[in-house]
Amino acid sequence: MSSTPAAEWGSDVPGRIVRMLRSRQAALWLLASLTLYLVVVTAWPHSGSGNTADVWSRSHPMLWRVIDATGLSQPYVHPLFLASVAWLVLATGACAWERTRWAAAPLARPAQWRASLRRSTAENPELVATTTDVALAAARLSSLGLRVEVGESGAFAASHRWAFSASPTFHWALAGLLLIAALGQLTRAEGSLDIAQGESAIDRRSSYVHGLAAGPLFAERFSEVTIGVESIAAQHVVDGVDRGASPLVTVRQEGRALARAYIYPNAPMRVGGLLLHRGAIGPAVRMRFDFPDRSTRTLAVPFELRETTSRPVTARLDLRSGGQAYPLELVPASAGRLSLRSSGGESEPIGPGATVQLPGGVSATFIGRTSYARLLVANDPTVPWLYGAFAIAIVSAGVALLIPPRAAVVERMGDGRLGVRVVASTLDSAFRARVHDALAMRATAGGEE
Amino acid sequence: MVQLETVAVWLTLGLYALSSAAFVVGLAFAREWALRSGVVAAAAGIVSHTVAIAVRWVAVGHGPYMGFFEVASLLAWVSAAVFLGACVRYRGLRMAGAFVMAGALLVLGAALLADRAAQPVVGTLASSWLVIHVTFANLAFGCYAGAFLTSVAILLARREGRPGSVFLARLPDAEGLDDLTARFVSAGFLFQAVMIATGAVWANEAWGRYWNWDPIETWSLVAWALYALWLHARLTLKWRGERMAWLAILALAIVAFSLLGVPLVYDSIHGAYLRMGPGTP
Repeated sequence: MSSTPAAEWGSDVPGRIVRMLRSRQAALWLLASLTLYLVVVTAWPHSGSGNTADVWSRSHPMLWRVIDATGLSQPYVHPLFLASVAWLVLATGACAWERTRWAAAPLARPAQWRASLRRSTAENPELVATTTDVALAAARLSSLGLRVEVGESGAFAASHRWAFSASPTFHWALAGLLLIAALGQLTRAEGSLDIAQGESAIDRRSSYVHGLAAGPLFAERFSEVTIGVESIAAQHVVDGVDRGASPLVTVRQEGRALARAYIYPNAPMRVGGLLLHRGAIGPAVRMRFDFPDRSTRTLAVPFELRETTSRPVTARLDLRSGGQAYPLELVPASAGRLSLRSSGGESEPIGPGATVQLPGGVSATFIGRTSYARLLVANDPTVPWLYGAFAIAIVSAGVALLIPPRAAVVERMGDGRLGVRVVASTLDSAFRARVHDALAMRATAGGEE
Repeated sequence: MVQLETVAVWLTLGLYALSSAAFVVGLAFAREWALRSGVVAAAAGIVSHTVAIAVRWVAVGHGPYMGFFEVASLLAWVSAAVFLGACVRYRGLRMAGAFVMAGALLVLGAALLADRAAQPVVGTLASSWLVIHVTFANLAFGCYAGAFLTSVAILLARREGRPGSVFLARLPDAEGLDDLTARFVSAGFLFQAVMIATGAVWANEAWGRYWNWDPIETWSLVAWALYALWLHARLTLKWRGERMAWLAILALAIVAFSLLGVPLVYDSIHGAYLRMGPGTP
């Protein structure tokens, strides 16, 4: 009884999937589709790109409604894109496996591979040489720049084994690169710390007051190191180039200094898995708070003293003492002064050196002005692996493209003639033609035809 | 120094224009003398262009990679130099000069519309990665320009009786041209891979993130993916001939757009360094 097409398909699902992944046409369509997708989605700014996206969405409201509804306002996390990349990774892996199997014989079993090639050349050559002299044929191959090994019944010339491993290595490295990049997005976290001169902050979630962008697999891997800004140099000259205002940053763990250096553009600080960059340098104010339980707290707060007319930029403080919470807000006032806003209302403006009494028995003293550094902190353990995969992919692609795997075999057939077989990449079609031309050449006078 | 540079740049523009015109005449009317004149004018233009770049390099203290003028000028130089080198090796490729030299002329002309004030290498640009990244970008562009050149030759050579056909005998045969295109694409693909990788490393050093999907990063990836598609089609599907030639021509257009057009069209962190006016952040 014959089976239905559906049953036939269903009986070999894994095989069909593998064949689809290895399909050259499918890979071509996938590459073309991904390329087209990338081109199309650059036509509009994406959510999270700040003001640009807001302006664009206001000037193209209908189009933005469609883009947002389809999820293309964030195209690089869209399921369509992620699924395509996943397919690309699987297809590259399938291709890598296929190439590895092809390269396994010359790499792992060179003697058997050579013997097999010589046998197939003797039994089923692709060309018959015009000479029956093995030494002459070997000389012709040698004239093409090949390293030839001459035996009794034939000659064998092949690329170094590296050339055979290059293509599989490149494909494995490419698949690995994409996987590592994906893993990096899942495990990475980045945020910014505003640390005033002379102050420090601990690498933990509560320190990132502007928010922390973390992947779902970050798993709260905070280092708990203490990051301090010792000082901020207004100018920092290195190799004759002024690097601008630069903070001197110290990183400590359990009292032990792990790193200490100026941070400026292109000179981030690496501490373990953390990468610290200089974000911005800005003004801050130093305040002292005296609480009813006689405790005192002195801190520096990033704060711009310049007052804006309609929307003054305030700084929020969540102070605690003796089990009591004291939420406050610093508000810029005129003439370089500030006032404090609490549950009881807004205080009188105070200048440097002045003190004001707040509700709840708290007094606040404005000690003076200082500066703060915004440090951009990135935690991505996959970066070194990514660099390694980059390097392997580029080197192996170079070898695969520029030193393609080749073999040329001349072997005596049963009737005494010399059969020829060529193994060459399709990128190297001229090699096959050159071998054919060389072995079809007639010997010069005095030689054998 | 400024005057010498100005004179050299305008002389270059004139010579590239002369070269383009000569190649058009040579191609349209099958005139050998016009093609020879085109090559001579191109060579003279490259010499004056080299002088202009060198003089500016000494005057500003850094290589030609800051601002639209310098970047576009160098790309025009690379295109012309690759063309001249290829012509020395394969005389038949001269007939593609009408396209290549015209392209170099347009790019240099666009460069001259930009602000030519010297821009200092400061901030996130003060890094060795800048030199490495830009060098490989130009090497990649040069190779892709070579692929463009041979692709144009393939297309012209296939039109018997049309302009250029009288020079067919001086070209490598179809398979040879195809092979040459593949070599250019392979080399360009590798150089561009290094360009993208070094750009990513530098971005991580400068901004803490190796990939931001910035428009210029995305378009560079698009161009690289197109050449990956080209190599894939040739290696695995054994595509040859006209469609591969058209794909290589399209891909070069994408590369040129990614280098010169994207900074002008998109709001990009790379674009800030290549805008036609002053105002580097």
